[in-house]
Amino acid sequence: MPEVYEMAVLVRNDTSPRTVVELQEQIRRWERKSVASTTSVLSTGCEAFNELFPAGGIRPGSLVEWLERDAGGATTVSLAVARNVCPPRRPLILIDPQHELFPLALKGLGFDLSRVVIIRPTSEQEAFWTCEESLRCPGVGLVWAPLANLHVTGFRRLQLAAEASRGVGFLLRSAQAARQPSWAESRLRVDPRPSGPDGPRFRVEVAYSQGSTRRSMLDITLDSLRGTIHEVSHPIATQPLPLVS
Amino acid sequence: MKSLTPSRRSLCLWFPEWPMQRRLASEPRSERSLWLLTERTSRGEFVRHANDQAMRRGIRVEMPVCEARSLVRPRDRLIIEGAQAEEDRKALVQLALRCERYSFCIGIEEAERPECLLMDVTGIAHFFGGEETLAADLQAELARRRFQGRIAIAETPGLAWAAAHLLTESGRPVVLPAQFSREISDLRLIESLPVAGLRLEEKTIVQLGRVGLKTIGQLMSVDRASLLRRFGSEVLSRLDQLTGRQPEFLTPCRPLPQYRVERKFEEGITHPEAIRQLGMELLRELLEKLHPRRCGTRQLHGEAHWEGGTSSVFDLRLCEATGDFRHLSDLLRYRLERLPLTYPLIRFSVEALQVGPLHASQQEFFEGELRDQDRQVAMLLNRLGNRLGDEAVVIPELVADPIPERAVRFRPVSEASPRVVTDFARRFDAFDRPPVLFSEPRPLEALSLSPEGLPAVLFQERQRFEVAAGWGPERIESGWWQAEFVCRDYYRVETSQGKRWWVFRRLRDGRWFWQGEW
Repeated sequence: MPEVYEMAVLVRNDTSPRTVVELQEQIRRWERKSVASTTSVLSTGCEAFNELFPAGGIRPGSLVEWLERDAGGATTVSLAVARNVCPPRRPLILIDPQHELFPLALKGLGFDLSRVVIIRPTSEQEAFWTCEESLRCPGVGLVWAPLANLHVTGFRRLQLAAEASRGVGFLLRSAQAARQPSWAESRLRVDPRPSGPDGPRFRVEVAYSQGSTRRSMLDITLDSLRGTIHEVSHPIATQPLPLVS
Repeated sequence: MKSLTPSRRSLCLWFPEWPMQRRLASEPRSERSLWLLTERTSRGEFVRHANDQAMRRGIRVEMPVCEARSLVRPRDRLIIEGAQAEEDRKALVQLALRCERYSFCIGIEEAERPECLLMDVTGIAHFFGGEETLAADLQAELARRRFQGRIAIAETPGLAWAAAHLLTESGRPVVLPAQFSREISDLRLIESLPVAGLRLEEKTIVQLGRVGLKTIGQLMSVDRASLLRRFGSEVLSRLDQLTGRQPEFLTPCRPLPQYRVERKFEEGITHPEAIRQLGMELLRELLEKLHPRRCGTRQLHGEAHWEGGTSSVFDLRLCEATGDFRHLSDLLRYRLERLPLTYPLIRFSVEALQVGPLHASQQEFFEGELRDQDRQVAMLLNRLGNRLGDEAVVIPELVADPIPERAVRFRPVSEASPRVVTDFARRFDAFDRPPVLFSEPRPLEALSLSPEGLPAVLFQERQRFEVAAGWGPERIESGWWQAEFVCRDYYRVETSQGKRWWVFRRLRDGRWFWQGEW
């Protein structure tokens, strides 16, 4: 156990700022190692989208917060991602307190409705309890829940539940929640953009992330025929102007 | 992976004109008499059954008795008796009990006037040297008792019933081999059978005939969702029972054991902890009755009787049969906490309904973790259903109806009904329908540049929304035969603020509504 020995030596010798920095660096290194060793990550179905997450995809046992402004869009984008992230043959639990989710659209987005269970709680407490219970169940593929009001303690409980079962939770929240502390691994802000010829477009920004990400913002388009996610390619990058010599 | 469970085998034994057969078998000397079984209605007395001798004289079923009498010749001996449906049923049950050497589970068909015995003969045939020998042995036994039975053996009770009624001749049993319904040539045979082979009510058969559906094959080619809408669940259910898609369980003629535990008290108990303890004790006792049979329950029914004559009843429905005390006690504890403790409790009972075998099979060893996860999900759904109510934990099912609010049906997960599959959704692209659909369309004000065109400006609750882009119209209207006629022009609009709405103009009055958003 050379690393433990190294740490013990450092602690015994002194507590100078240099040592503290070294210790912090070592902890960070171990943490990175543990993240890297947590097997594979779940892909969102779009390589560029995966780069918005610190692990290069959604890590099993984590929460993702989707922040929605007044114009909306987070529901559509989060559901399109959920379809790809939920492992096959595992049920997807959608919590729908408003009774507004439309399964015909879910089918269009590519969901297998035989694996979709919709829960309709009648109060915020019930919605939170349902979310926690579902996240704690190892057999559930993904939990999608709009939770407007979430106390920091409750948030931590959800995170621990997801971590225990290695499940994934998508929490849909309003943009005001950005001011509150988060236990989610990533907090993404979704804004609609004018539609393109191939489908509706959205801008997804990383509002917070536990770890550095390769990108902080991405413009995506959802294919209007198949519901798949694509990065909006920048016109300059894809069709560079011919150089005049 | 090939299924490890052997295919089931069912035998159907049909006694044509059972009420008459029963009498003729009991009184062989009266064979040459004209025997009529009659039924009295508000319009008079009518012939319900007649023996061959009577039929030869021209007497027919549903004929008034007075008319039948006029056809009798002077030397004929006429016997007229009232039909006794209950006695006929009892006699059929008695006969079923005598046939127990051929099956461990014998039931009678579910009909107002049953004429068939249904037997589970899975794994029995080799005792007789094969299914053909079993059928021949049974046929000979019936002949010895003066019964004329028609016998068919097939994979499902439904198929055996159809074969007994449509493919057999008197004295010649039919045995349809295992995997029968999967061979193409055999499928053709099933498809050619008339719909009468589906054990449907007479009026349903007439209704199907009116729309040109006369064979099972024609019925199979019709969209299942539209069948469900027009004829209810009976047709689909019978079709699935025939093909084996929906399992059919026989209710044995021997009375089923009742799994019920009860406690009575001379002095009522009031303390919540004592009531909780009692509930746990009764549950443990109940599960001890189920365990030796390797059975679990899908429904617990509890009754609490209080002093003063009041009582409380609760039902605990589960996704699959379970005998897990820890899981059931968690669910029961929650229900007990919700009991109104206004009076002392004097009697408490818990009964296991829908008792079935536990899903522990050899196949589980191969499925391993996957099966364990499925079980955990089932337990989660039980917990959610128990606390939030069955109606709050649902599975969506699509219905082939163009009207958005009618295009989905939500079925509680605890409901063990067959899933209806429709290919209705295939006609839509990913963004043709919004993921959020309001239960009630919200009224809008709209300004359009052309009289019946895309709106240019929308007003919702005094807020103005400029339409930056739009697609449509998509006309959606209901069938003329439906009670409420709906005709709408739908548009997908994108406002300058970035909102993506699904709005429609009601053609009846030109009013605008907002029904969903992306």
